Order: sequence, then structure tokens, then C-alpha cells
Amino acid sequence: MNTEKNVVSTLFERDILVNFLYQLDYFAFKKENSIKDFILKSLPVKMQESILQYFSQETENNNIDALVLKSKSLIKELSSLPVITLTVNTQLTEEQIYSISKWIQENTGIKVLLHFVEMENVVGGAIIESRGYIRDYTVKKYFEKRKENYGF
Amino acid sequence: MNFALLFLIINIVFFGGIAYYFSVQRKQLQDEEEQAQKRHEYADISVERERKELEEELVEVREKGEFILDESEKLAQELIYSLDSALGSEGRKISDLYSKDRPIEEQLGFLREKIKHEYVDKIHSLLKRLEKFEMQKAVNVEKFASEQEERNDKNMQKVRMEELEKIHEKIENYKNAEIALFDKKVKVVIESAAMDVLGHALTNQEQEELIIKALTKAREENIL
Repeated sequence: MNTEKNVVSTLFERDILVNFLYQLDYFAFKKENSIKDFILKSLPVKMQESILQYFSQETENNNIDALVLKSKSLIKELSSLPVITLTVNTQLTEEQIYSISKWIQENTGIKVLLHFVEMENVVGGAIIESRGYIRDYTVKKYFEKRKENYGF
Repeated sequence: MNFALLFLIINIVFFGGIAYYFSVQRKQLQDEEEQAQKRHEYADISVERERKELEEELVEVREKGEFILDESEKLAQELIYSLDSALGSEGRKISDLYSKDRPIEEQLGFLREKIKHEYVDKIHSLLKRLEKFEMQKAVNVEKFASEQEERNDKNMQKVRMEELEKIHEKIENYKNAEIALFDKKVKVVIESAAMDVLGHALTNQEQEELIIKALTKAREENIL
């Protein structure tokens, strides 16, 4: 399952999906509604199609055990994805998030989840936190460095 | 009966223990409060002492400045009065030329310039006017003036002017330091405002481009 490109790009989306998958386990235990209805009711629109497709075989065969097993495997896969935290100035649109996520995947070859933090005093660019490093790549930092070096 | 007595003793010991515990706690709290109070008092005393020292220093500088002002004024007044008297006109009240309400720093600067331009010019002007008088009178006055000048140079005037220069230098340094600090503050405020404006001026597209640039840099530095 291409979790980054089609379903989840951010940590927030990952949490929604993982929460849903845990509920799926509970749903399977209760067996009250159809799985499809439950997916449509519980997930955001952008995730629904992919998830339905992902679990299509299990839902068609009504194989609850296989569905639970697959959901657990997906939870494990999602939880192991590395997270990159980007502290930025503004709230980005879904398209922009997708674009950034796509750029990372294309340029680093790794599947990652993005975690966006909004901070007013971050100007132009982002503070990036990844693999235990925190670096300031903002315009503000650039000006500060220039001031240190040249005094203006 | 024995049981009741035992119960009573246990109760007394128990409540006595509690009372002792609370009294110890209370004592500790009181001690802590006293220590905190002492610390505050000590801090207050230190601050007060420093404040007093500063005030005393300032008073000393002011007194010194005022003394120089008075002495310089007196000197200039005496000189002009003597010259004016020799020329037959009345002495001028120099103290009217500047206000006592002005700050001492300003007065010092003002007087320095005044002595340099006004008093010296005035004396020179008076000395020139002497040329129009009879030779004898002129000789006498010039002799008197040169005596005054000579005496002042040798004795007090030089010292006073040097002190005046020193204080003026101190004031200049203080002013320069204040200006530099102000300049720095202004720069910080301007930078902060500029950053704020820049942050709001960037479009979403530009923000995205800058984020991609940041990620590119992070990739080059093997952060990703």
C-alpha cells in the first residue's frame, strides 16, 4: 500500500488511519454493520477509496480474521515510518503538503511522514527536525548569520 | 481498667507525636521564611547601597561641574568687567546669558562653547576697541589684561579648562554609548518589524518554494 502518496502524508493523517484500524478490530468483534459502511463513516474522503481497495478482498469474502490481521500489519507498517517535523510560518494546503511529501520521496527515496508545526516567528523556509537533528533553514536565520558575519 | 489506661496512654503518645511533628514543621517553615526574609533584606540593602553609591557619584560629578561653571563664570565676568570698567562702560551680568534650569551637562557644553566663542571674542573685541583710546590708557588696560591672562593661564584657568574638558569628554562618551545603544535597539526593532512584514508578505507559493529550498539544503547536509 502506498501510504504516503495516496493515503497519508502527515503524522496527523497517520494517527487518523491508525485510530481507524484499531476501531476496525473492535468493529469486527461487534459485527453490527457492513465493513464498507464503517469505512465510509469513519475515514476522511481522501482515504476511503484507497482503504476500501486495500481491504477489498477481505470485505468481499467477509473474512473478518484476515481483515484484522491485515489491519494489524498496516498499523505496524505505518508506525515504523520515519517522521520529519517541519516548523513553518503558515498553514499549508493539502496540495502543498502532497507536493512537499512527493518531493521528499523523489529526492530521498524514503517513505516519510510529515509533521507540520506552525510558528509565527518562523520567517520564510522551515526549521527541520529529522533523525535527531534540528536545523534552522529559515530566512530569519539567514539574516542573523549574515549579521554575525558582516554586521548588517 | 488497665485497658482504658493503656488506651489513654497510646492516645496521649499519638497526639503528642502529631503535635510535635506539626511544631517541628512549623518551626522549619518559620526558619525558611526568616531566611527568605533575610535574603530579601540583603538583596534590598545591596540594591540600595549601589543606588546610593551611584547617586553620590552623580552628585560629586554635578558638584564638580557646578563648581567649574561658577568659577569659569566668575573668571570671565571679572575679566570683562575689568575691561569694561577700564573702557568706561558698565560690567555685564554674565549669569543672565544662560539659565540655571538647564541640565548640568548641557550647561557645561554650552559654557564651553560660550567661553570659546562669546567671551574670547568679546575680550578680543574689547581689546581692539582699546586701540582707539589714548596710548597711555591703552597701555595700562592692555597691561592689566595681559596680566589677567597670564595669571589665569598659569594658575586656575588651565586647570579648570582641563577639568571641563574631561567632564565634557565623559559626557560625550556617555552620549555616544547611549546613541550606540539606541541605534542597536532601533536596529533590532526594525529587523523584527521587517521579519514580521516579510513573514506576512510571502505568498503560500513562495512559502512552499522556501520550504523545498530548506529541504534541499537539509538533504545536502544529510539531515533527511
